[in-house]
Parts: sequence; C-alpha cells; structure tokens
Amino acid sequence: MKIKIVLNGTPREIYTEPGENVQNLLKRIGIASVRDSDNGYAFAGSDLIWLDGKIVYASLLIAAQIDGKEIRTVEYLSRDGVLSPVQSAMVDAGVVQSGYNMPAAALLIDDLLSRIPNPGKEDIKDALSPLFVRDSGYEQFFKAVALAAGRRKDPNYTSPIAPKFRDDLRFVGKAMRKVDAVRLVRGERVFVEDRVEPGACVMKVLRSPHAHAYINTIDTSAARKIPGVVEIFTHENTPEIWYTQAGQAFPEPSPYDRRLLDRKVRHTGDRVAAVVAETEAIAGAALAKIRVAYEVLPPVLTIDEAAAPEAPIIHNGKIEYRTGAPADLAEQNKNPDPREGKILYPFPIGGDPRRNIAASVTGGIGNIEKGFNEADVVIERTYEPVSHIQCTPLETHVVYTKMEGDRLIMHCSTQVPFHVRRITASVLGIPENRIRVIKERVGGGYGSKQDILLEELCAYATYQTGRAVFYKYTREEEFEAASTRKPMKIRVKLGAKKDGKLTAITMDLKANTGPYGAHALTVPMNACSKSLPLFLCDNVRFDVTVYYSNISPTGAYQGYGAPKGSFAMQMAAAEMAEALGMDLLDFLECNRVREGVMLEILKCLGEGREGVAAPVESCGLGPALDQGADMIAWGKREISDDPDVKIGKGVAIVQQGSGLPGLDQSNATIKMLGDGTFMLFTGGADLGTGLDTVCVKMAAEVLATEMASVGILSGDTDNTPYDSGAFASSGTFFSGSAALLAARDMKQKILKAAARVMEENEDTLKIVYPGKIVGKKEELTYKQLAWHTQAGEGIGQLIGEGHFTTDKSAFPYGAHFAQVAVNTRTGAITVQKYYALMDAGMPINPELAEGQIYGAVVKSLGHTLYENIIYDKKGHPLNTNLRAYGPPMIGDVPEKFKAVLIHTDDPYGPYGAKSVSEVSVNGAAPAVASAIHDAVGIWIRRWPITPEAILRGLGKIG
Amino acid sequence: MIQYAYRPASLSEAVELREKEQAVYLSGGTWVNWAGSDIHPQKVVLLEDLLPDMVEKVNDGLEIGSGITLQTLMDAEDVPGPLRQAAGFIFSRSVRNMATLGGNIAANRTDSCVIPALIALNARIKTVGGAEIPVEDYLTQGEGTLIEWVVLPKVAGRCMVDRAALSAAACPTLTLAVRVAEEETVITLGCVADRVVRLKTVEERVTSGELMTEEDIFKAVYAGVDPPAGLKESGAYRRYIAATMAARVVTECRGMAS
Repeated sequence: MKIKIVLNGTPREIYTEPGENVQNLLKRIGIASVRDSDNGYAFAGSDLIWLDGKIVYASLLIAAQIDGKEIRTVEYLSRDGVLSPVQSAMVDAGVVQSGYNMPAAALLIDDLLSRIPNPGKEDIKDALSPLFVRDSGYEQFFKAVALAAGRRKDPNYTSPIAPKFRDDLRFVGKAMRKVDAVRLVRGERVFVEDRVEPGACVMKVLRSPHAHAYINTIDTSAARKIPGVVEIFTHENTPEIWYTQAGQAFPEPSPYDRRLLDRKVRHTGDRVAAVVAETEAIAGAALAKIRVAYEVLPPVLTIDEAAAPEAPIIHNGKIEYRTGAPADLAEQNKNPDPREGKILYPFPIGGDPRRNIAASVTGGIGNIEKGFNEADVVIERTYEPVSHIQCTPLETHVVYTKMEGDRLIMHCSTQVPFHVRRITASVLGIPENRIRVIKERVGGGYGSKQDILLEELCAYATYQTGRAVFYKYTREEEFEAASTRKPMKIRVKLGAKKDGKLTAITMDLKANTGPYGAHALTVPMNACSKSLPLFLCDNVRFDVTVYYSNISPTGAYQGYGAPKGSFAMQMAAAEMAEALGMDLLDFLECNRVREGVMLEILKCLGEGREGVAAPVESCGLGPALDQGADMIAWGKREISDDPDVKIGKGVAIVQQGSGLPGLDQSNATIKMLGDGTFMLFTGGADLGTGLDTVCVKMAAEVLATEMASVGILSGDTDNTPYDSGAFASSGTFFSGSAALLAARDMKQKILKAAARVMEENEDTLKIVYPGKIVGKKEELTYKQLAWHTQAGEGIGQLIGEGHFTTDKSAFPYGAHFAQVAVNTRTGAITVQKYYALMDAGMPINPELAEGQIYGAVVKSLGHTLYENIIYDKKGHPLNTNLRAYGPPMIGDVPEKFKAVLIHTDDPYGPYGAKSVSEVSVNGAAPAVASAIHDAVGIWIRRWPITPEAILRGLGKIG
Repeated sequence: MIQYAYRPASLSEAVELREKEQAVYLSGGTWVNWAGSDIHPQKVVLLEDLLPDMVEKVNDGLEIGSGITLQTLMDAEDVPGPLRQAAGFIFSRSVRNMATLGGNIAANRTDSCVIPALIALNARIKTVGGAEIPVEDYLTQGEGTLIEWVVLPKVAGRCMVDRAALSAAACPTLTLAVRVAEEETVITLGCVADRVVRLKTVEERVTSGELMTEEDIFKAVYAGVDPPAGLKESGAYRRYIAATMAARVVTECRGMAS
C-alpha cells in the first residue's frame, strides 16, 4: 500500500505493507534516530516519535495507522543545523552518555516544555516516564529540563552544571561538552547498525530450547533449499577450536570451554545453528526449517545443585592445560564424553570440571585461628545475593562484518576492540593483521560488551561466505545469551574486640558462572579484593569456589563481583556493630581503610597470578563519611505520619580499583596537523562514559590549546595503538594516562622543534594558550610551527607517543547513605534519601562523573530491589523482556538524591584522577539493607529485597 | 504479521468487516501490536477516527467515548478521580497516549488498571448496535463486540483505587478498586485470578455491617481469594497483599463515606 505522511515537515509518499512496524519503516526510509531497544515491548523508549502532537512508540504502530499523519523525529528539532534549546541543554547538563535513546529523550523534553513551559519535578517524571536510562540515571534530567526551559526563553541562558575543580586548569575538572554528545543527541549515524550497507546479509541464530542437552542430529537440508539462504553453520561445519568469550588480556584466567557451535548445549538459548540469509524474514523462515534431535539432560541451576555429589556434569570433555597441569589431571580425565570436546585451561585456576568447578582459589594473611581467639564477639552469617542480573544495555549486542579484499572488517559495539581482533583471529585461524575492528559508539556496555558474544560467529560467517553480515541480538537473546552477573552465596565470619576492632575475617564465597567460565575466577575474586581491603584487619582468609550450571551465561558486569562481595562484607559489619552494641558509623570509622596504609591482603588477590601489596595513597573516606552523616542527619530517628511506616538509615563504604596494575596497558599517539591542530589516536574504548572527552581535555590542557583543536580517533585496531580495553575501571587511569603521556611527549617535541625554528634555547620557551610558543625574542603559533616541521625542509610531522603501564594502584572510595521507609503492613520499601559521596580523585569530567554515580546507584537499587531473571525448573528464563525483568525507571529514583564528589589528589592518576563509575554500584544493597534493619529490625540477607521478603522477615506471611 | 488493515467508513461497517474477514479491531495498538500480546492477527480493522473520544455529561452521569486515550481520560476534569487515577497507574505517558479506554476493557487483562475502577463505579458498556450492559457482564459475555461508549452513572459513596507493583513500570501484582456506600459496597481486584474479580460475598458482609473492623475484612478477603504465584511473587504474598490492601481501602472508604 501507499501511505502519505508528513515527516519532519516534508510530505512523503511511502510504499509499505500495512503491517510494517513503523520503527522499521522509518529506519528503512532513512531515519536513523528512531531505534529499537525492546522489540516492540514499549519499555525503553528508543523508538519514540512525535505523532500528531503526542509522543508515542513507533514499534507499537503499524504503517496503516500512520497514513495521513504528521510525524516528527529528533531530526526535526535540529532541522536548521543547530541544536535546539532542549538538545543543547541535554548536552551541557551531561545527560548524554551512551546516548542510544537520547534522541527520544529530546523529543520528550521538547513535548513537555511545549505543554508546560515551567515544569515541576512531577511533571518531568511524568514526561520522561516512557524512557529507560541505564547509564546516567535520571537525576540530571531535572537539571537539563530546567536549563532547556531557560534556553527556550533566552538562548544564552545558563545555570551551574557541576562543581569545578582545580582553578589552575582550563578544561580538566570543569564541565565541558562531551566530545560526541552533539552527534548522539542529534541522532546521527554513529552506531554499528548505522554502518550496514545495502545488500548485506542478516544472521539469525537457532537457539536451544533446552538448558542442557546433546544434539544427536541436526538437519539443515530443508532450510538450505529456501531461496535467499546463503549458508547455515552448525557444529558439523565449524572448526573445533576452543576459546573463551571473556575479553581479558591474554593469557586469560578463564577456561577455553566453548567453540563456535557445539554438539552440546549448556543453557536455554545456547547456539545450535547460525543462518546467513539475504533478509531477516528468510533467515527466520530457515530457522523454522532446521530439524534438531536433542538428548535432553537434567539441568543444573543453582550453586547447591551444581555442588551436589551426583550432580550432572556440565563440562565432561577432555581437560587440558597449556601450562601447569595439576598432578591429578589423568584422574580428572577419566571417562570423558567425546561428544563434549574439551576444556582447555591456559594456566591453572583451581578448576575441577568433573565436580562442576570452573575455578577456585584460597588465600589470606595473618593467623585466622589466633584472630578469632582474640575476639570478644564472633558472628557468622550467610548472604545470598543470588539474583541473576542482566546488564540491559539499550543497544543490544550487535556486529556488522564484511570483507575488503582479503581483510575482514568488523564494526563492533565493544569495550575491547583489540581482544575482539585477537579472539576472532584465533577462531578463524588467520593473523591479526587480516582483521580490522572498528569500535563504533557503544549504546551501553556495562561490562557485557567486554565479552565477545557474537562478533566471532558473525566474522566466521563473513569469512566463509565472503558476504557482509549484520547480526543484532533481540532483547530475548540479550537475556538468554549475553553476559549476566554471577549469582553468589557468601558466608562471612567476623571476630572483633569489645571496642569494635576487627581481629579476624573469613569470606567463603561460592559463585555460579553458568554454562561457560568467562571471568570465572576473576569476578568472584574481585568480590573479595574490593570488599576485604576496606577493613584493616591482620587476619583475613578467603575461599572462592565457582560452579558451572545451566543458567544464562555470566561474565563481566559493572562492579565485577564487588557489589555482591560488598553486600556481604558491609552487612556483616553492620551485624557485628549490632552485636557489639556499637553505632555502625563508629564501627566503620574504627576499622576502615585510610590513607597511608599498606593493603597486604592484595598480595594474594591477583587476577590469576601473584598479587602485590599496595599502598593507599589517597582515600577520601573520612570526609565522605563525615559529610554524608551530616547530610542524612545520622543518628536522628525519623518518624512517619503513617504509623505503619517505619524509617531507618543505613550506610556502606565502597571501593574499586582503577584498572589492573601489572596487567593492563594503554597506548596513544598524537599528531600535529598542518594547521597546528592535533589528532589524538587512542586504543581506549569509550563506551559512552566520556573517555574520549577525558583524553581530549587532558591533551588540550597540556598543549594549551582549545579542546576543539584536538580531534580524536579511538578504538580502531588499524589506526590506533593497542589498549587492553575499557573494563575494570581502567578508562581514565590507563587510557587517559596514555593520552596524557602522548600529549606531554608532543609538548616536548613542540618545544624542541620550536627552539630550532626560533633559534632559541628550548629551556627559554614556553607553551602558552592558545596554541603558541613564546620565547624571549618572539612567538610562534602552532600553525607556523606545523608549516616549518612539515615543509620540504622540516624535521617531519610532530608525533607524540604515550605508553602507560604501572604497578601502582589508585583506589576510588565512597560512602553511601540511604534513608528508607518500610511499610510494615505491605512490605513496601521507599528509598526516601540517597547520598553517594564518592572519592574519584580529581574528577576530569565532573558532570559526567556525577551522572555515572547517579546511574550506578539507580542501577544498583534495581539490582537490590527489583531485578532478577526467573527460571522454571527446566532452566528456561521466563522474563526475557525489559518490562517483566523490571529495571528502575524515573519513578523509582530516591526522593532526595545527591551525588557528591569528594576531591582527593591521587599521585598516580592523571591530574590526580581515579575511576568513578563502577565503584558507585557497590553501595546501594548494603546501605538499603542496613537501613531496612534500622527501620524494622530485620536483616534481609538475600537479593532481591522485595516487599514479600520484608513481610516474610516480619513474620506476616509464612 | 498483519497483512490487511481495513479502514471502514463507519462503525457498523467495522463490525461487518470484522465478522466477514475474521479480523481483529485495532485502536491504539498497545495490545494488538504489543510484542507480549497473545494475539497475532493477520487482519485488522482500524477504528481510529470512528470511535468517539469525548466525555459527555448525560443526565446525572457521563458518557465516555471508547476511543478516548488513557492520557486524555486522566486529563479530563469531569471524569471521576478514581478512574483518572487508575488510568495513571499505567506508568508510561506514551502508553497512555496510545492506549484507549475501549481497548483496555476489551483486552480484559487481569492486571488492567481501569477495569476494577469501572466496575466499582458501576460503569456500563454501550456496544455498537447492541444493548447497554454492565462492564462485568461485558467482560464475561461481550468478547468481540465493539465498545462505543462507557457510561458512568452517578453513584453514591466513596470510591478509591490502589495498586501494588514491584517498581514504577513493573507489571502490577495487584490492582484494586473499592466503593463503599450506605446501601452498597463494591470490591474489585485484579491479578488474583485469570481476570478481574468482584468479591460479592465480602461486599455483602461489609454492607450488612457483619464485617466491621479492618481485621474482619482482611480475613474475609484473605479467605475469598487464592491467587496464583506471579513471576516474582508467591501466591501467598499476593493473597496477603490483596487482603491487606483491600481491607485498608474499604476501611478508608467507609471512614470517608460516613
């Protein structure tokens, strides 16, 4: 049928099927900004459009419904080539981070201000109710709307955005526009899906309906006969190469326990066959024609089931070690099942696959027995943060691969472009120089895009067929086949003297890694290494055991185990304070880490290698606790007007790292261009957090030039130097430091070259803003210098290099305070106040740092209170859409919510900076749980903390 | 996928087309086009521009066009507060911008936010070419008939609505509407059975004065429902919360009504 619409002011006639989904239709006719995050579930709002005066979901409309109507998308807002007041306000307020649905946010705010020029907080909540925001939380939208409202009246209107740090610096420590924010808020073509060319094929994957099964037979013959089917891959025609999907530095501390397509499926949604077809519809039709005969095995879903003596074995293939095979390997290898292939450990990590143990480790310092003997009070508790949590990036996992000559080009949404290249090369059996990985803008990663979940499969298809192939996970696939957080069960035992001083700590942690062992060792270890060092105790022991199971795959997720370790340790501290009759804040103050101490425990908490003790060079916990206690009026009992409602306050202290000293590496180069501007090339992967902005700011600061004079290209394996990737809070500390070093190298080269041109001693020259070299006799602009260096007689283009590795640690810290109201009649929990006081060193991007704190807190409130993948007894996940899964929306944010940046100056961080985002997810669970205890006197030790859990704790239901 | 979309010129033609083509009515699209829907039609009859979408005062009551969106319903000052509040229980403004009152009733979901309120307000349905019947009857007998108007008579007493949900945008674990008048009590609950239910026995005991205290009402409701477990909640929790919230709302209504 032909429909007529007015699209962004222009009448259009469009040929379509009556039932064509309007989001697809708009994309087909060139509107890139209307995106799909939920496949028509109307939750995330990436597909919102303006339709005849109302903001509606394009995915809930069919083409026939829009005939004769007017549609506006974000392109309408900046149709004159400049940002609208709403868009500019969003950019300046720092709400545009990964940005996948920020075009939709702009439409919503514009609509709001059209209806209500001066909206209140509830109006803003109502207006933004269709929007799911995972990265920056929602709090800064209130500021953005106020700014936009002002700018609609006065284009020059401004208001304070964020605190400023370091008056001596021009850009660093100040709110400046994120370098990619304008493109994101305009809805430009910056994501992987925007790179797909006409004629590209589509991949769809047949996924296992069983949680645990062998594939006895698989018949693709009928599917292959469908016109338009290009190729179908199964375990029968793909290589028997074993690898891990964990995007960690080589050699990975994760078992190589999977191949592209296996004969055994180990979770519902595991890969069975991959179809490459001319269109999505053809690929779907082909999937329906593939016949598979399964031998269904009993599934293993929980830690206890996996650890049971007669538990079904998840990995029963031949066990191999690249190095350091254990003495009992022959014993372990008795009776392997040939259908299971093998499992290869790059080096020992305590695995025992026949007992479903993917990894294990034990360590400690001091004398535990002596420590407990010295204690006046000993408590032992088990905490069960067992809920299974999904990262839920707005942009689901996606890749586009194509051949250029004999080279494979991969457009990826990844945190680890160089690991994508390495792992893909190894699976394809080709050298790395035949592969180029281009990291596009990442529409949310949160750790799950540290793993190579579909890139290598799509790359293999392209390499085999020669065809360009596009593959984007559906939201259901995201729940079934993307990385999730590992469920854990943690037993903590504490001993303390009457004065509160801890004498001994043990942490016995069991984790569920799911069907494969990506990050099997390191995530659970991180639960220990980011929770135990918060407490100064001479006698500490930890035991970690990680089990395979048949739940959805797990891997990296922001926090990397620390949120669960923190929950256990901070809750145990709170319970110990109660047992001692001490105020929790006093107990924390008595035992907490502080500046100048040496963290000996880290000696035994290396990531698959021997660790090193690390000094705490900067720690803002003291002021964070003091200021937070004042803000929340710690110690003051709040009384509700409703007698059923009890109010309590809680606190937790948190820490993380800033990258992995001794393991991570970052590199950057910077080139002076012919007009004296610069291009910075960094291997760092900005996943929406502002890493590119960090790098540009620091380079501009060092080179005393405008930020606009420093262009940046990042995460392109052909054109940028190696970087281990954006994970473990490494961005600012590692990639940022490399950029800083490159800029400093450039500065030295500028001075040296200028000395030659100006015929002055290098020592007498100074670099002066904006972009010139000043000597005793004269000045030389960068443009003039560039001409001199790049002319026929010049010394050559100036190129600065930065290479950053370190054995030094920069620990970010924080104190989180929560005030909750608990309705003892209904169990309802309301987070009334939440204050997150974070020591991120010297914040390079303060407005983005605040946004990431808000985002991390809201996310972790969701993890604590709502989110959980539910399985039936056969291991089928039941809530594989966002609405049923239930992450928090703007209606769930705390009533009073404040992120506070505590300024410290870390000697090792660039400009004193430490990481900020990841650490902020560690506080909500223990702060809320201890506040609940303060309110109603019950300890909830299991996630999620629901009204039902409250009522059970109160004995209201059995 | 929808292959045919018919755009009739009148409501009577819409009814004919639906029967003739074995099609499904499509109004706002939040149910028929929703990925989680349990219907996947190949043919739809477009109702937009045909259904009335206004609120009209009639005698002592109101007639509300079934094509009114839930957002417009929320914003309509003449509409009784509990019904407007119930429409607002749907968290997303954009869903409310699309979803129609008639569509919400016709979908007949147990977690409907507006159906309990309509029942509590003694609402009646006028179908195209059909008789005027109570909402309750429509839900059990009216499947497939096209709603044209929702009639709200003037009712006595005090009406309140409530809902429980794990988070702002989560599927509700309970929807609830209560009206207490001297001669009549209505208690309607969603999410405790496969469709919205009315607790008539409890209502009669409240009206008669047999159930005087909140605890009495709690016990009666508790005995009167046996909800299935939800995805994230046990049946026991749903039963408890239904009884607790119903008892509280009835008590509050009674207090205010008196």
